[in-house]
Amino acid sequence: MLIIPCPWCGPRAEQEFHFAGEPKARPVPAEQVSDQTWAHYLYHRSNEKGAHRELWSHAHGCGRWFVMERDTHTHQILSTKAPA
Amino acid sequence: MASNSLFDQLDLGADGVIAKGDNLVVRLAIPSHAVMVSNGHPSIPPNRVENLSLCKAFWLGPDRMLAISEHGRIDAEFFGKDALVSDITDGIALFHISGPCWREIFVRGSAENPDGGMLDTGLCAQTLFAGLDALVHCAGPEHLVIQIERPLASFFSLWLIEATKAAQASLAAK
Amino acid sequence: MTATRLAHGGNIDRQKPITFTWNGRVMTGFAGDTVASALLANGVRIIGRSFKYHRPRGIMAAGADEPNALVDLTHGVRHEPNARATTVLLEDGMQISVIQGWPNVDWDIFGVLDLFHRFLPAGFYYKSFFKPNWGFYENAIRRMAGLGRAKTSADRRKFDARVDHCDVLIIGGGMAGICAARAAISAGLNTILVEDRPHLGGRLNWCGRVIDGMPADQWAQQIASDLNCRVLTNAVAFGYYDHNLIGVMETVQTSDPDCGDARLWQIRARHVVLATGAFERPLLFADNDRPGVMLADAALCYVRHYGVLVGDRIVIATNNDSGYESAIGLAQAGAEVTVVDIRPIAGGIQQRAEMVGVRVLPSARVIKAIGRTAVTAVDIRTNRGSHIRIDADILASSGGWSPAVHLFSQSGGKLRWDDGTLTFVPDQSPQAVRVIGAANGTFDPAASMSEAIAAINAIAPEKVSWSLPALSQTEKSVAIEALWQDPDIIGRQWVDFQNDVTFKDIALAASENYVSVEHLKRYTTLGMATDQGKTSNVIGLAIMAQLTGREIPAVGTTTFRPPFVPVSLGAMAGSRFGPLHSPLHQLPAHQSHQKLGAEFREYGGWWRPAFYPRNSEDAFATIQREAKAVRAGVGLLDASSLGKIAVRGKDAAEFLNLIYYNELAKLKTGRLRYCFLLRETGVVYDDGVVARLADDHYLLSPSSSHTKGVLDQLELWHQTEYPSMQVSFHNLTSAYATISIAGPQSRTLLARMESGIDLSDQALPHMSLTHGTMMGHKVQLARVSFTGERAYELTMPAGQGRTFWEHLMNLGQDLGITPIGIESLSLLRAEKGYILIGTDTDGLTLPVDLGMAGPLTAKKVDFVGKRSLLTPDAMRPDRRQLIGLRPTDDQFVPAVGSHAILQVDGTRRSIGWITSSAFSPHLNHTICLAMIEGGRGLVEANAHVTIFDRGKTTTARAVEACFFDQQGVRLNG
Repeated sequence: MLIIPCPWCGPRAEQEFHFAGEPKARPVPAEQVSDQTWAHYLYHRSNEKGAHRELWSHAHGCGRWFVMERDTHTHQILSTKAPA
Repeated sequence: MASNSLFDQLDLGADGVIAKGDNLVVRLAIPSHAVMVSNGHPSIPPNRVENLSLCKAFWLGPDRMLAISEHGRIDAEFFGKDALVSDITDGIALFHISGPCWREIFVRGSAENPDGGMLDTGLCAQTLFAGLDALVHCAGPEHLVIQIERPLASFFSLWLIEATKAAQASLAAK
Repeated sequence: MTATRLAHGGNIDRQKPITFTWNGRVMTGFAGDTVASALLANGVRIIGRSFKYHRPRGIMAAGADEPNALVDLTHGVRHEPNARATTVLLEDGMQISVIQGWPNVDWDIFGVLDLFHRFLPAGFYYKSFFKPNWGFYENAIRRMAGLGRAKTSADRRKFDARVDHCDVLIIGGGMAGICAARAAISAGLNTILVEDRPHLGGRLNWCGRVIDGMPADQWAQQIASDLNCRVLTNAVAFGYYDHNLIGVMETVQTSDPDCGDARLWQIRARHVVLATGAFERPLLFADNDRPGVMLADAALCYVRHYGVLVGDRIVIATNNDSGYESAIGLAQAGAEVTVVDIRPIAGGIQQRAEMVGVRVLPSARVIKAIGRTAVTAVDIRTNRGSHIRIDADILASSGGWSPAVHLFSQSGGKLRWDDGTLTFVPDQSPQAVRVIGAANGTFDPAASMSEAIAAINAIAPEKVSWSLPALSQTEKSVAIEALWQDPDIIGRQWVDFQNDVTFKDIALAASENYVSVEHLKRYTTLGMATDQGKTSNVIGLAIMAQLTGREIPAVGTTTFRPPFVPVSLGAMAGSRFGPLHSPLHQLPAHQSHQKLGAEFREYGGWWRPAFYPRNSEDAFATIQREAKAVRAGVGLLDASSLGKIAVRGKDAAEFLNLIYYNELAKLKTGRLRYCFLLRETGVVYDDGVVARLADDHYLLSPSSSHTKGVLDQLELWHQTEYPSMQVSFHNLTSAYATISIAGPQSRTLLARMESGIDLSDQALPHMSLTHGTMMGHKVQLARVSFTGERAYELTMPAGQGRTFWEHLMNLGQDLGITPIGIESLSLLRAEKGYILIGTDTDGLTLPVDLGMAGPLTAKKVDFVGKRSLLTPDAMRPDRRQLIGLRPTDDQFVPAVGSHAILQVDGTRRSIGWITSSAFSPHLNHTICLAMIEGGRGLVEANAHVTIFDRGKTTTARAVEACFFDQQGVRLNG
């Protein structure tokens, strides 16, 4: 039951948040993207043991989305920031 | 009319009292007028509630605030000509928890620390309470206000009745 | 000879007797007793029968580590099928009985199983019960093995649950914990101390030590009364979770039948200090599971803490000095005590023991317990090989201590093996936790106290202002000598008492190559019972190490998982059952529907009318009547739960066009469009109507269950991908009520609501909307249909929902107005082939499968999911497509989920399934919607498919997914 520091609201309990996995840059335009690139965007994840970048939203709080850096081994949260 | 309808549905008297304990009163109220505002001013800092002349304004996000008036109406122009204003008066239910034992209710509904700063004067928080999306703030010493969407008022009332009973039993045992 | 209650001594109150029953016999105990101490004091020797072999068993321990004494407990409305007698406080009126043993525990008929033990080793069930099949044997086996029986009536008690926060949470109120608490308070730290027994002190209550010149238990009570912080007793910390969140289950006494006997605490601490103590290990010998065999410290606890002397001729087998502590206490209470020490020399404590009359046999070991239903004698072998038999009624053993590292390990902490003390001790943890005292492998009292102070000093440097009390001088000690298992002992030796796992089972596992500690556990079930191996895990893995020639740390421990002790599901559920199970949204006109006798069901988190039965109709008749009434006249549906999201801003149009599948930027003001919202995989996530109210103002109507999800997606795309676009989203769902008015008479009814709105088809065509005033309130009127009839959706402030509903019902009486629920709505829309996302579609359905391929080629922007619609898989011709089916027997209604079967040579495979199925009252035959491979081709060919429905095979004709009025005359007319 993590404590997650929302960049706007400060530290709150994990159940207020929604996890959305690793953020990936969206390949566009559709006509020029190969099947492999698109499949990679949809399904491939780095699955790091250690520092991992992931997208979260404060779904039951302010509703803002942010990027977290979390150590997947120790659950230490290294940083949370608004999306670039 | 509107207030009778909701109070009627929850079988409450005109005072809106849902539950009472020693040093604890739980009461339902509805706002006179409530609007969601984007692109308007004043701009409120994150998680602050400001007392403006016509209403209380709660920060909801960088581009959004909620303005509530307990008496009278809020003029749409109040927020500026570019403001996007949506009337959501009938979508809100306000639950007032007052008395020295207000924390007994809070610690049964929230994972947060009531004395951790979230409820300091001038602050508000969008958070989970009793499993519901809620906007909470302290309107005064020993006075907690929990705002939830009106369709959940019936469920939340039931929850508050149970929580008050549990709080009573726990205080009595001490 | 059975146990006796001493006339004096113990932390019980002899002035407060308590009456209870054991297997129907009335007995007496005292306030302060546990069920176990009271049973012992009343001479109970056999507490139950073992799990597999049904061997008679007695009480072995005095705490959470007890493996044998599980009893059936009833007290008022409270019933526990597997209560641990050693941790349940005795209360007046408790009815306690055995959980195994027929006809009774003394003469259990299944005890005969023990004769066949050679055929029932670990894992025997993996190698037998093949013919005819497992099901043939299952019932019989479940009756013979197993623990208590649960009650079949519902438990309606509500359990309290709350949260707390602190600077430091100290778990364990023994000596180390108490010192840490005292130090923390002196340092001004916000402190909580949690202790699982009713009083603080832990072993101080029976160890016989002197602190600050007074008996240790007195010192503990004095400190306890002085502790100025939150102290939770009768509270077990059962789980250590992320970021220092601790789960604690507090036992509460209550006479309220609605109130549960426990309270769940979730405590978030900045720092945790674990002072959880250690569990004593038994020593192994033949028949070491007989009633009368127990742990040495438990025997000491019973005599000093509960005033119960467990026997009068006691043999204590030991490999370390602490066995002598027990010997001293028992001898002082009047028992004849012999200590059998495997070591040649013990510490200074041996002299103290001999001074109170304890006889010591050094360099000797116990090899067998004699007696069947109770210990009667003990066989001993000296190191020189001679054999001695001593008469005894209690055989206690002390094989060393295992620090209680469960919570530490749950925190992510690693353990290391200390060869000197033969303990697994805490090493590093990623969380803010410190371990002190016996839990840390520190058994010396002075060192333990220093550790407590040091831990608090580390948390609040230079703030601690409490100094340590004086301890009596500690004497010289001699180290423990390892004895995991003696290879010369003949006879069965138990390791895990509750799951009936013996040394031979471990040897079997080793010989079958289940040598990893995780395999050892699962193959033999060692450590998997309700005591979770508190007395057996370390012994088991040490034996495995010995048998496989490895060091103990190389074998290691299994993963420790919460809960540390069993916690009831009721207590975890709290009050979240019945009406409080999950939040249900109520419609604004809820009371009106109640008055009309609606049958309510949950749909997408909303409590909505499923149908409105009249007279003594059954559900089928009601639904058919409602559906007919809509097509004949006019029906009313409360659609207030439909999402309403206002999307506003100068970039609203461009933004929505990037998000939705359909073209939205070119939608005219005042018009509606039926749209899909896709996921990036191209799968249809939601469908709904989008209305344009102005150039920069749209209104989305996502389905009730997807409203929050859609809002979340809009915010995601805006905040992460298109942050420079000026657009805002306001969720208006709860603020407005919507009533759907459907049927050929719908316009007639609406015209009776004075509004001045032009209701002609020119002014308000199908899929358009307008605004006006009705009954003094601003309303929105949209012409949109989910039934295929002329229909309107009237939206007003939620506070007026009830008033408008009742008014429309009144106005429509002569038109035969009928309130309709979700079930008849579902039938009506199916007749027209209107889909329900998640019913007619699944996680693979793309727009092209639903016949909506247009926007893909027409829309030029990169909307969400676009690229996925251009993959080879998305363009396969044999994809499942939505079609209609007309069963050949047109009165037969196949079940939803029935598969369409294709037979090719000898094999059958599914080519799709039925997604919606109903008997149409309007058409008087069955209608089905289905997703079938190459469906549209089958429709064009007027082909038939074979349907397999619960064992029955039928046929159906592939038809258009719209069963009447394909031209939409009723909609547009």
